[in-house]
Amino acid sequence: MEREPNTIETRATEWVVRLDAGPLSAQEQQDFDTWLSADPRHHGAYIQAESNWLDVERWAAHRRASGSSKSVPVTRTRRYWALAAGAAALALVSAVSWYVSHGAREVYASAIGEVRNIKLADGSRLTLNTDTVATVQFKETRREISLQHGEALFEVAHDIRRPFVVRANDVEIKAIGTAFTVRIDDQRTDVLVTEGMVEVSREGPSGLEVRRVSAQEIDTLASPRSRPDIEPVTPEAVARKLAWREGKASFAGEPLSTAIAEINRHALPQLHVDDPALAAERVIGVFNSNDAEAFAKAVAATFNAAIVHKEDGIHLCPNKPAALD
Amino acid sequence: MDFLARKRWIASHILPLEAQARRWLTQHVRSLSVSDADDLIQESYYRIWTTADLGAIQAPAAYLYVVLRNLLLQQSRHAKIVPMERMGEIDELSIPSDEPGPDRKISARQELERLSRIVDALPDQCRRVFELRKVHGLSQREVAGQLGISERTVEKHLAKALGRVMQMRRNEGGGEARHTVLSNKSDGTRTEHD
Repeated sequence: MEREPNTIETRATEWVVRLDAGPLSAQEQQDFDTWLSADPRHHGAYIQAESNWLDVERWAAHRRASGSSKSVPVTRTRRYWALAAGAAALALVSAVSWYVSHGAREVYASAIGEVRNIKLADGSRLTLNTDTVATVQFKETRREISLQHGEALFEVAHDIRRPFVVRANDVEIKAIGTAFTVRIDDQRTDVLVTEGMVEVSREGPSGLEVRRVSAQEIDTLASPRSRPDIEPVTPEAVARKLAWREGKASFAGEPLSTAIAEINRHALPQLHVDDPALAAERVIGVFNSNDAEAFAKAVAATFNAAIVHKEDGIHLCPNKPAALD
Repeated sequence: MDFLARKRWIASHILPLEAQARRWLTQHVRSLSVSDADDLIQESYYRIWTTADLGAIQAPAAYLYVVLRNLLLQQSRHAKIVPMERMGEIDELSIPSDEPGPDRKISARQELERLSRIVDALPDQCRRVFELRKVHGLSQREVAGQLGISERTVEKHLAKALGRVMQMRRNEGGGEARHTVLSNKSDGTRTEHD
């Protein structure tokens, strides 16, 4: 069966090779951006082509090592292949053992800018914020969730015999029937309780440390060794912290750098601000969290900044003061 | 992870799974056409690329399958016309918990072999350009100078070679189309029959 050559793929290979030749002209850059953003398949095919272009290096290194560009001595290549196959098998073994040791876990993931609402078998609800990975495993005596990345809201169905336990970093959060969010930022873990009460525990220097966190409280565990910090949160702050469920990001005077970090969790292209004074400006307002362009425009208009598109995303720069003549 | 590290991650974790994922799609979602599967695979690269912290993905295969399944679901929800059996097929679609079988384990070796064959089967000038750029590490401009051709022609040759490599990977999944990779060669030094 002959397949039609895939036109998106053809364009993608042309761009990869063009970028390999050197920097794009302004016009080319604009064409490239337009093409990339026209369809996620375009961007995907571009990444796919780039990965293939990069992956050819393995073969090229092998050709260089064998010192011939046409025929390859069999013995050497055999050994190389055996090594390569060995490495691949090893990678497979680790992936397999991860899966086996975790049994019949279900993996849920959301992409950047996506909010997913999942109903679990026990009637609990799981809402994944942008770019989040969570695994769910229901056992006889426990309902176990592991938050591996990102942020999720848990609305727990009441079941006194099977506590609902969420693991995030080195922290364990136990609930019976309640609602709370857990957010991971690298080493930092935030637990925000919106209803009921949860038990937050982790291994401390003097054994297991267990604390209770009630509704309208946030427990911030900045890093595995730091002291926990339980603080009350106002209902308005809770609403702002849950704005992501409606695809919004809400700011009440956070520095621009913080607001950008939040938007960057949800949106592509990524935003950058290099000027420290601009980065310290305070942002107030509600934005669509997955629309970086709109956010950049709003910021540019408010703080008199310029928008510059570059390969790694959108840069916000202070506008040069007008010449004084 | 910077731009290059992200590309490397995709090249080493997702690219080797592409053929297997395509096979999984076409076997389990029978109402899916070959080009639908291509579209999904392309979009999955984008979805994975936009995952902020690739390093945190512990099981790339499971992640890729989840992404593909989600894309299928989204597509079916938004499409005006969806084959009747599609929703049922998606419902029954399970994320494989057993990782690739023996056919997958030898693929690192096979891939190198196939790549060599693909390159050897390129038209002479195209092959020369590709080898000078990739094996000898000359810049595109240097390749053009060396061979006395324009940089534009160098680009064309390289894009063609890269296209062949990608086609090879796509065809690994189906098996049925493997021979077409090389069969349209006029100066074909060899034809693949496996």
